[in-house]
Amino acid sequence: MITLQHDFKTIQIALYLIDVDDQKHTTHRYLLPRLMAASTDHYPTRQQMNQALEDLYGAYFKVRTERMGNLSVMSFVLTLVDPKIVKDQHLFQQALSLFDDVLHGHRSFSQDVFDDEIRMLIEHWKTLKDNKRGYASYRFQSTFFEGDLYGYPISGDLKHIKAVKKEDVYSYYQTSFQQQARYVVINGHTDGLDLGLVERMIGPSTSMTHPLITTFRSWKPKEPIIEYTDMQQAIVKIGYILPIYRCDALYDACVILDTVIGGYPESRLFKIIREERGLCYDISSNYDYYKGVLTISSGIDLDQVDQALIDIQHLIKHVIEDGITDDELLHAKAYYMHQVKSSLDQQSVLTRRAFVRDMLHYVESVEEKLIKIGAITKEDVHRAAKLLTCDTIYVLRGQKS
Amino acid sequence: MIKRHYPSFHEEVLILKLKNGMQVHILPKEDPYYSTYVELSIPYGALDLNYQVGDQTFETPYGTAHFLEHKVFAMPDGDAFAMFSKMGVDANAMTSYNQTSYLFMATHHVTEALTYLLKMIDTHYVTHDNVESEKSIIAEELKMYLDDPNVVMHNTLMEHLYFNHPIRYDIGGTLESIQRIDDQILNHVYDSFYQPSNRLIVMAGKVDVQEMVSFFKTYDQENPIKHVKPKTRYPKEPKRVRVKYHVEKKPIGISKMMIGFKLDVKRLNPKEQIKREMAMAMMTQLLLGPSSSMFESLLREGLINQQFSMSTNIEKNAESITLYAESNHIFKLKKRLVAFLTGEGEQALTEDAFNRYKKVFLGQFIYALNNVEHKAYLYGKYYHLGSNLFEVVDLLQEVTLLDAIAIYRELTPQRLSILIYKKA
Repeated sequence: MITLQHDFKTIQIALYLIDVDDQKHTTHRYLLPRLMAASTDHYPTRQQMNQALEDLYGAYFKVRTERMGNLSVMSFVLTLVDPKIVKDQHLFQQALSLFDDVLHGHRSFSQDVFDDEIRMLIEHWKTLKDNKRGYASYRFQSTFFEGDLYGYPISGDLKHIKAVKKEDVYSYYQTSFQQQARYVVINGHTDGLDLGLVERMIGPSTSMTHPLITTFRSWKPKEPIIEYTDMQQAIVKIGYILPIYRCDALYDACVILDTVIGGYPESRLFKIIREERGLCYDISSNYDYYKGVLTISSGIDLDQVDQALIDIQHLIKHVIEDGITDDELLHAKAYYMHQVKSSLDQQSVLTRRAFVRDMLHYVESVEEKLIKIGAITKEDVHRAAKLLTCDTIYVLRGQKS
Repeated sequence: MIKRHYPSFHEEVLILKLKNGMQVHILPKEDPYYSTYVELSIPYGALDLNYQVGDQTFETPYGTAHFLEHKVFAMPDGDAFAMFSKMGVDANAMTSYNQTSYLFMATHHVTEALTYLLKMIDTHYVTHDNVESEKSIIAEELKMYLDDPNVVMHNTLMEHLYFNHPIRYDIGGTLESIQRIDDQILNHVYDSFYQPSNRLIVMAGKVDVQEMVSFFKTYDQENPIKHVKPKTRYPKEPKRVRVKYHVEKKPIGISKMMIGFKLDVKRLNPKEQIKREMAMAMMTQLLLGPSSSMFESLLREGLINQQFSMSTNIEKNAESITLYAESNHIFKLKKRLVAFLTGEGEQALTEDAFNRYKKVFLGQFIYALNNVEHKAYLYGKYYHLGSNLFEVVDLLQEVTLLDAIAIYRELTPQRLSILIYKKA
């Protein structure tokens, strides 16, 4: 178990469960934490579960399933107020007991809760097109990552959702749940709390046996995809392959590159495409270090889409050819260092980071990290930039105004 | 400097009152803490469209406050956003119905960033050209929202609830109204509302208090302006709703509904108003929150999904409760909800549930204190409402079940407006 002693006003208890991502169990892994946290044998309805959480001063579970490279991570994070502030000496034990129940108190899953979850997932799919940005992200993701599990929805597709049975998910819970690598983190002002109880109720951490694999396909030629719908803007997404991953030497240089391209308000995309040319309101880039890709996203004026596509690609071409300036490096480093330091004040970030560091055996301290960032050169960033290859262009748009 | 301690929450507030009328409230955190959050807020928001200075009244287009927020970042030597980024500082701004806030989060260069924030606010650099060029950027922002059916529904419901009150319009204005905004309007608004006497600075997190005392003393000497606050005027608003019921067919995946109750505006003192806001929020949770019987039944019957939500809105001269739902059985759901909200639901307002929810409120307050941004925002919000964030917990103790029941009884069919987007 990882214990983080911080002076927050809340305590977080987190469990992360890891397995190799596979399409067959995608829907199971998506549903499982939701079903477990929605009801238990002791609290057989959502209403009873919610009342139990409300009794704990509105404690709340955040459960999710996410992908990290070739791995699938299910997380259960319970946040409760520091019992010392509300002067409730039983609160911690009661919260742990509820957590224990969520993890282990299931002789079966409630059919009602299961049916609700499936219905809501199906309704989510039915309304996907109503949310233009969500739909554009889904379409871009499935095109860019076609043939890769990253292109497959985290909840599974509609066909799998409709086919999954409660018994299948329960069987997965019985057979696979206990066998997965698990990381337990407790974070907060834990002085005087019985931490042994956490291990007894939630179980000890175990190490991961599967290696983290971070790869992606090589560049494939393809035509831009343009879809029309009834909307006022065009949502543009451009996917670049940038084959540098979380554990590579040029990783931090890639973060700087992403910052300079579209990571903050002094970025080239923000300054040139938005401020100088007035083509959009929002524009940004995002570097995914598990897949080695950089994605540019923007909502563009309908009459200017073609020009914006040319301008954005030209801007990136310029970075690839000429690299970045001394000023850009200096400012992006200051911003990156600020992000690292300010994240130390955020409980949820610290909780998750503790798990990731433990899983990947990172021992680098914050001071070492800051020194490393300080040592990045323009040449490092240019070496990274030269690896950028434009791969997928997706546009969801209305007709011209 | 005034010091206030709140030992039960391990919090302290230091207050500096400058001669020029500006106030600085510092909520320091002990080491180890790395971030400093600074928020400068002005009680001028989207609802302050019609205002009076002296004997003269001024009418401005919808979206003026939001437009000015964008232009405050314009500096003669470039964009202030970029300057903050160069310092390695995260800056942002937001406009609500009642206030405009400029903020930054820093882990270094705090004094430089604060100096620049004040310079940015004090340097009003608005020209015909830079106002015109901003219009295309704001238009894209508005179009982004117009592509979201939930935002469109919310705006339409507000238009249906109100005849004249400016809450009818989106905070950003409309594609048409922003075209009527020019440099002269922005200059006048700036001169009227942005003077130091209207400003509140809240600093939270890692703060060198002595350095800040000295900093603001110098600032006060250099900016000795004291200004009378302009008065916002609101149009007369009938009690009834403008449109009671409206159904429209739309090419959407599932039918959607918004229900709004237009409540009477009570002329209460700030503390009573905050208690009313809390009672209103508690009532909605007791009726239809995730631990309520009604929520559970609607879910079980397949009438609602995870998008179901309720919110309370207390703004200047406008109070409402709104509800959003998606359903494959939208008319059945409408019937159930209207009956529940206008009579049958009172039985859900029980002492047990009320007491349980008071604990939740206390918990939510503590969660908010955990996050410096949220804490500073709430601190500013309650300050502008004429109260104090840390007194809110005491006020919570004074809220009773009867307060919640009294508000429930205000939910009558006459105050109700229903908007349905039916799947075509």
